[in-house]
Amino acid sequence: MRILSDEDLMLAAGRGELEAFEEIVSRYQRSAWNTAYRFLYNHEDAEDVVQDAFIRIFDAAPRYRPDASFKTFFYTILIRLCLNRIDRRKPDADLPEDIPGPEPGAAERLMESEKRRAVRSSLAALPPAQRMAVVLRYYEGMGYKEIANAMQISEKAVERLLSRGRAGMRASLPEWLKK
Amino acid sequence: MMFKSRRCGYVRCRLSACIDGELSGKDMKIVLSHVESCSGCRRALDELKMLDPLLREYDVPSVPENLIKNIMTEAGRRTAGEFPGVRDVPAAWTARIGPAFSRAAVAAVLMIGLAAGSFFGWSAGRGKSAPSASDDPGSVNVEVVYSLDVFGAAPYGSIESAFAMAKNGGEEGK
Repeated sequence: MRILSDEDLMLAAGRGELEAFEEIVSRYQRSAWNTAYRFLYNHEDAEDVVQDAFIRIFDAAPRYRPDASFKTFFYTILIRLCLNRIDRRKPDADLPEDIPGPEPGAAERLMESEKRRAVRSSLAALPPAQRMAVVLRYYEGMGYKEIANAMQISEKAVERLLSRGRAGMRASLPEWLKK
Repeated sequence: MMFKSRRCGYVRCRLSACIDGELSGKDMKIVLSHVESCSGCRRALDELKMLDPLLREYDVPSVPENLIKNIMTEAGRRTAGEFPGVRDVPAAWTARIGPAFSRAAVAAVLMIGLAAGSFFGWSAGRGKSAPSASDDPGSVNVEVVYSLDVFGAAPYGSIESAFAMAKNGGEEGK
């Protein structure tokens, strides 16, 4: 059986084929979830945003033209929703959640847990655009051009965002960056 | 941050792109040759490289079990027309209301233009009217007060008054 491309599936979804849309969701739900969760570090917010992103592309499917890659199209919507969600949040709510407590007596686990907490806090402390660029680069493995298209900025701007984001994280994680 | 040289500042801004392999050949050469000779920039590059394994520590909980189910339920509702969204507007409908909508939009713009013109004309005329009670009582314009012909047959400035003026050879209202 021929595996349909994302673009073909999207065109089929535009004709009302729910199976095609379900295939798109199953292909992208993991990466969408990872991106939204790492950016928003909140379970409910991430779930809302991912659902909203998929429903929006479903609504847009009848008007979809495969001029650009579906991945870029999808990420443009997802990123916009993530940034909007951050804008609407209260400043004091901007703290990482879901940090599991260490098991007592295990020094190694305690250290690993501390390290994870430090990384989350460091990423959370970055301005939203820098954080999004870092998430897309590190966790989704996107190139500068792909990030630029998805965030609708220039490649030079992506370079600046990543450079500042990394510098910020380096400054906030000095004890974990020693050899 | 103070750098040892201007070259350090230039290189530090490009270290991130250097790690990602996104620099041009020329820039890559500049950065790498500088890093070899500058201990501060070399340390910065090493620390940035160490961010990579550190960031992998940020694990994410697994995708919620009901995520795909919720999305598909919502999509199914939209297809069934329970929540009419943009996709539910039939093409024939949009084609039918399109021209009517554009005509209505033009009419609305004209109406707004007329209303705005009337308002601004009225408010501009108001500024030049006879003195009101709110004005300073000591600065009443005498010319305006004595030009009011309230007992005359025709009000000052009216067609009748102008006709009478023409008839009487320049003396209005006589």
